[in-house]
Amino acid sequence: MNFSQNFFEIFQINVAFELDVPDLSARYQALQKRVHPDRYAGKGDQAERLATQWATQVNEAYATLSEPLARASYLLDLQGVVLAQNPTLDPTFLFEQIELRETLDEIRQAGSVARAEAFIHALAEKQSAEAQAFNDYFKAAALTEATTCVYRMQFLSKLSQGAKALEEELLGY
Amino acid sequence: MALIQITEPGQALDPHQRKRAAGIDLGTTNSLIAAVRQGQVDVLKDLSGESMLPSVVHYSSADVTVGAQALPFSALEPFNTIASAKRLLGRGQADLDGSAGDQHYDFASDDGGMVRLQTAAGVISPVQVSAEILKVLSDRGAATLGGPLDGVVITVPAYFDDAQRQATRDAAAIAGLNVLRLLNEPTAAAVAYGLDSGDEGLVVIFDLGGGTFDVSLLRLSRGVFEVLATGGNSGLGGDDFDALIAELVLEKAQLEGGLDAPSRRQLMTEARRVKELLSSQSEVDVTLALPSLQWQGLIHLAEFEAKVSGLVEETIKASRRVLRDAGVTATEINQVVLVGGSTRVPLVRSAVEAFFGRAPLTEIDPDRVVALGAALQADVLVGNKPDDEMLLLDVLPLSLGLETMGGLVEKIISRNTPIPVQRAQEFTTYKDGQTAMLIHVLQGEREQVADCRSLAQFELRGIPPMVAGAAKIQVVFQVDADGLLSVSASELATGVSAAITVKPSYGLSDTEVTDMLKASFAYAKEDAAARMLLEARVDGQRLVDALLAAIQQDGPALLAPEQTQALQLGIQALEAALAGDQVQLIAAETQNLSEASDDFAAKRMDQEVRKALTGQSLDGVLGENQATADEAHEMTQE
Repeated sequence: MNFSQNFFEIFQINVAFELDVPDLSARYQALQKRVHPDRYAGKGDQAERLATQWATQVNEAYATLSEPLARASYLLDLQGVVLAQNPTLDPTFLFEQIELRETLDEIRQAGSVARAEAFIHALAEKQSAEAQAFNDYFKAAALTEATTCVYRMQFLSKLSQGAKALEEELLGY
Repeated sequence: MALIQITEPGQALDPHQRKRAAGIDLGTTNSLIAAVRQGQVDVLKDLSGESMLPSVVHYSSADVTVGAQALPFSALEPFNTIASAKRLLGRGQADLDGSAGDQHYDFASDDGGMVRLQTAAGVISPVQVSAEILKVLSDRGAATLGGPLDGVVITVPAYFDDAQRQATRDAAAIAGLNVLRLLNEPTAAAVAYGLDSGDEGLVVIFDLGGGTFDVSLLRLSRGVFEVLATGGNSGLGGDDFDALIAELVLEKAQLEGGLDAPSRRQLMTEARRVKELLSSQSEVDVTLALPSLQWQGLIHLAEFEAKVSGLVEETIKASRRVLRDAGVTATEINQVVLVGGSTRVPLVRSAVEAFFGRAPLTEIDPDRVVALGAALQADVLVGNKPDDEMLLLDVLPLSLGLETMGGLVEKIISRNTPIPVQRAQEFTTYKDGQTAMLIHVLQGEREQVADCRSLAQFELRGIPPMVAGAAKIQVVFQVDADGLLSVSASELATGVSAAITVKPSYGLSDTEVTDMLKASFAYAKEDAAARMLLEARVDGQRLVDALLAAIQQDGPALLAPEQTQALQLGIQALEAALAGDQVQLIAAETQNLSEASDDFAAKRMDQEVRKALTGQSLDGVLGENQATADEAHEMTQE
């Protein structure tokens, strides 16, 4: 199996952060039509195993490319950048993170679904601004700055997950 | 064992080669089988013209009765007459406490695993009960389609966890069925609707059956049914509505003391009748003359609705969550489809309509729609429609995780991840010289181990002794297209693969399944040795045929002459074995040839992948035609 292809090559699209989501989705479906194990049901273990491996790889590629943070991290990985476990970030950003966490705690104590929703929405805007910044730096081959953007995106993403979990909790799911 | 068979579009199969395939809806209350015949999909009927098989099995010391014939026993011998066995699949005693109907069973002593039932025929697993139902449907299919079934698709609630899916697979194995795929019920319903109307867009399937509730959001486009999110409750259904009506009757009758088992059964039957009548009238007159309950009175629709409104609200809450998971609002939904008999309850319909802001589709009989969709999928999977573009892309319904320190669950694969999927996780030892490790696999959304479903415990042994923290044990989770999990592990530093012992928490071991298969009546009739020889020959011959076709088609392009020669030698060796009657030899040669042709099969698969994005299939799909001159050449070959 040709797994040496990177995820962009699998979909035959340009290696870039900017991405046409409906186009990727159409390519994903076209690929799955060929490799999904359903195409090889009852045709023997060998065929089903290969198809399952390919379909798994296509799913992994699609999941990575369709999510901005995963896509950005993957682009850096392709450039040989190894992301730090505990990155150093500038104090202003960290201070803002602490404030956001405090806000989230307040929302938890208030038990307000509406505030949780507004908070998630505000975070989404920050995330998209950070993604835009990543795109600019990455296109300019400024990998250090692009890497910092990914670290910031990681912080925001984690916070957003926490906020979404809180909202689910408040909704009683 | 066969190489990938690629049939070119438009190439019609010889009608004599048409395979016998069927879709089976193994329901909590009723089960059905459907098939495509002469291009038409329909449910198959029994000799008396009935299509619904009540999912009821009666056990006596002498024989087993299934369906309508078993029903009369349910009041006479409640504990020998097993109904709603689907609710018990992959479930432990603790899961069932307090749920509707748990008082209708005589559970055998609880060993912490899947429940077992005490009957006149001995201790029976719910898997065996389901197998009896499947056997009757399989016989019906064989009788109607003119021979044994080549393959079936069995539907399961989308919200079924791994243990419940595995139990369904095991039941099919005991019934001697070749399962092409376990298909999620809502997806099956979407197929039944989608193929008729060629719909595109976002579709919600709201499926409230006898014992389970599912809600799924699908995106339909170009023949692809992509599940975006799924949710529900595998222990909520029409049975609960019945139980609430029974409760209402008992409240009105002001009965002191409990009901005996036969009376309770009859009360439940009456409750179901009342529920069904309340779908079309506003009150029902009830007269009960049971050994421990005599009562006459009216049940009003408003009283019923007040009782069940909490359950209906649960279903709407689950619907809201599914939309949220997919990041979609109710106004973006193009269609809402109702599935399952319990969606006939007017309050359910009006609640769904109010939430989604549109009238739901109900054109296809909600009791049949799942079986019909499964039959369409079975027809495609078995290979009767090689040029069909239909593809179902499903997701994992519940997150998979591992127990970590402090009784917490670490998620490895989150819910609504498209399947098949594989994720790896690394572990290390915490003691010097540690050679074994216990891994506890869980399914569910909550943080605490106690709040999730335990799937299995894995013991890794044979880890090379090292200082604490030096070993790197990689555990790989693989979920296949049926939604079934398998786990493998290896120590990365030394490359030693650790031995795994699996103890399913609520499942059957392979040995138990084999024993049940041997014990089953259908198997006893056959000569096991003859059956094994036949199966080995079929496998071997299929590999020879497929490989010969593959070499003819792609050999010149993908194989060096000496590789072709090596494969041909392997084919000759297998053909020689096939001429004899030694099962072991046939199996060994089949295995050899399969391994020898692995590389070739992988190359052909890679070629398929390349074609996917360059061939004709993308015309009009990607918006603009990106085909170059070279690719255009490939297109003409399609």
